Amino acid sequence: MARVFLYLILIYFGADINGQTINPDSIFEPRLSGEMFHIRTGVRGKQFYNDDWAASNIKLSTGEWVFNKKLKYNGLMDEIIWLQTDSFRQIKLEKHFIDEFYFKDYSGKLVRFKRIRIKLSQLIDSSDIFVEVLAENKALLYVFRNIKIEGTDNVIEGGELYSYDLLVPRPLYILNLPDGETVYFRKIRRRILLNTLNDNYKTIFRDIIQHNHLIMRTEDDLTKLTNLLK
Amino acid sequence: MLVTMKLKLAIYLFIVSALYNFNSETYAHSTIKGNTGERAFLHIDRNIYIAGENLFFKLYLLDENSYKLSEISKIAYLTLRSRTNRSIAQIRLKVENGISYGSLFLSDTLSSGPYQLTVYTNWMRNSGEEYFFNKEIFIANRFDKELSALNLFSHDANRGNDSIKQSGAGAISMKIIPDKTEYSKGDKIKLEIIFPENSREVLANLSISVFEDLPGDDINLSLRSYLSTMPGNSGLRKIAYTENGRFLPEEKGEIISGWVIDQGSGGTVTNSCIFLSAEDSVVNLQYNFSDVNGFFRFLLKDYYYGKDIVFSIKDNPQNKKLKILLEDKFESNHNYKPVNNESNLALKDYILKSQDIVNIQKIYDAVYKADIKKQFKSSIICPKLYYKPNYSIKPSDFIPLVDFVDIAREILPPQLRLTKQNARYNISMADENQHLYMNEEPVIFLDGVLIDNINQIIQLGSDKIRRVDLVCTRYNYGNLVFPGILAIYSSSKEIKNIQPFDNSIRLKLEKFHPYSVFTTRMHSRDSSSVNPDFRQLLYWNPNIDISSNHTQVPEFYTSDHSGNYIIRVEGISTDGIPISVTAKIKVK
Repeated sequence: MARVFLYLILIYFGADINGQTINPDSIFEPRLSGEMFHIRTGVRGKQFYNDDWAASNIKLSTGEWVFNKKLKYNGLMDEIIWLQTDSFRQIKLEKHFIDEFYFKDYSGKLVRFKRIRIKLSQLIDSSDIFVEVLAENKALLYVFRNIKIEGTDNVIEGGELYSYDLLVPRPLYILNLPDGETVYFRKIRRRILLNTLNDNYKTIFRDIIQHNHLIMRTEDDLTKLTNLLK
Repeated sequence: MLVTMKLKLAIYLFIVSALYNFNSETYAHSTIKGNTGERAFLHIDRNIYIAGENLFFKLYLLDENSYKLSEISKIAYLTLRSRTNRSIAQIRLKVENGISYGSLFLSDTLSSGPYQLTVYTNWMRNSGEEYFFNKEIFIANRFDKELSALNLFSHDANRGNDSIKQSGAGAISMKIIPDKTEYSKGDKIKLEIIFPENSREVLANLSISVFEDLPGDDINLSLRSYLSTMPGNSGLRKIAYTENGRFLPEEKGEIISGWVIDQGSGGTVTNSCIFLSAEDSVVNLQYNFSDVNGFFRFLLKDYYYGKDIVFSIKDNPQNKKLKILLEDKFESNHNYKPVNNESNLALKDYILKSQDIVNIQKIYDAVYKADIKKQFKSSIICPKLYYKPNYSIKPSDFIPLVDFVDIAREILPPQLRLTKQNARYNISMADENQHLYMNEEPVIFLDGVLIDNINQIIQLGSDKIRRVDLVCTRYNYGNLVFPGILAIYSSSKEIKNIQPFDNSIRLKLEKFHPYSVFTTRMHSRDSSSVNPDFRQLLYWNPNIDISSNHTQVPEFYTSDHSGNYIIRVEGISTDGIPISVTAKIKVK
């Protein structure tokens, strides 16, 4: 009887092999492009948003989608890095060809990044940056997961002096209010947030915070607040 | 005992499952709207034409099982063949929500005879040409009074197995009601499409033609009768994306395919990398590999339409003499053979009259026209290879230099190194990230098209080169790595004078056939006009959406030609129920 089963299994899999399937989505999947990625060395601290390669979907600026690519977001360079799983090459994807990308399961949740054009205070011209989308309703809340070099750490290793750049996360919150005004802040504090707003929004924000008992210390509180804005 | 029974049952189920898989060819795609086939139906304004007239058509592309308008294919192919199997027209149609329409100008020089219209989609090609929609028409040359070829025109070729008449003989009980049964010349005609009072609201898309009745029986094939006679109407037939069923549905756009052939052995070449780029002012590139059968495919973006595109094979490790052979989607294995019939004298008289009418109309340039309603433009969204080069240099900003050798030495950055060996030039590029020269040659583009080597453009000087872009790094594109990119843009399309690679194939990608509509005098007789109006086609409207039980068709006018006219309505409801209705009117 076991032999009969063995034959049947062979027939079954043989049939599957014979009917070679073609997946048009994979044949015509758009190509990703970019330079070879060279990791910044001589640093202390995390330069990536995600430590592990995250299975991700990418929406290209052409409107096309690319699915299931292994990505890491580098907050120091504000670049998205793609791991080519067959060659293990790491590619710094051309930022301007990418509109959005999703980490499908980052700590159990879907994390969405999108490219926006913004004028940052430290830059003369507007530039494109990737921001994590926290809320997109009447008001939009994004966070630029910026990692900055703040100081150096000089250590002697094996009798030689080494200097390491110290990396520190410095997120920048970007809140686009329903009337189109945009405010920026780096820390989530009730007072800091209210100070960035005009009198009209100050009142609205105060009301929402009080009615919903928001402590305004976490991103969750800030997201809730943004979603409640009308 | 029970255990043995269970075991037998399990074995039986296993065999059934395995055989099912074996026969039905597994289905691997998730986005397609079901693995059914498609059927095409073409409603045309008439069946008999005089050379020099327009033929108006409406394509209904239907899901084979539900008969609802197909959501699968977005491209359809229409051909017109003569009785000698000569292709008169080959048209690529853009299908939107299962419909397409347009017109085809029948050249004045066409000889008299039966012609065959064929419509199909790439997806339908898996089922064989017998699944294509064919319709025979007769085209008479204006100056052929003998009309001997009329013997070859088969009245039965297009006939269905039913006769669609008024009063709801169609699958949906619908009536087309003219405001009168008899009209005088130049009279206004109002048509109403009415469904029975008690019927539920019908949503449908229709096409209407009003043309002079032909002598003899009605020889039109209705959509309803066509659907009932089509082979393979079991509703169980499955088509899968397998190597056997290699014609993929063009869901997202046109697929262009072909083979890589080894000219030495005549065999196909597997795993060969084929590049596609278009002549443009930006570097654009797509690539794909040939499969185990040497077959490759590209999904064409709207960007390519109206442009000259080039297919090339760059790397040829075994130094084979490779050739790219593109697949001709219009190629047919079935010959069109009109059947010899008895001469129809009444039909001959009708055609002789039509010839005279068209002659007069032509003299006064008063033939009804096909006005373009929608044109399909190419998209500006381009498959760019890089966003911004490291360097972009305009030779016109410097003193004139005679050739690229001087340009490279004098004005390009040192990241580009040009060397000469055995009377041939070679280039290499420095990787700015690594601060090293790369050993391999960078990829070179001229006017957006990948070319073989620097020697092809070495003679171009400042007068011919508009801009030079350099990407000085190892650049990844998909799974390919390019050791730098050199892009040269000429001031007068020098790419046209260069064969990019020995194996390159150029193709001018025509835009899709425009949607066009019938236009004629849509107002009451203009007293100042001296033009004759003997039209035998009074009205053609390919796209009427019905969303209530009572629809008014836009009004139109009779011509100065008296006779009996047929109003023919074809269409399909959103539920997939065919609508085929006719009515008659008389012009005195």
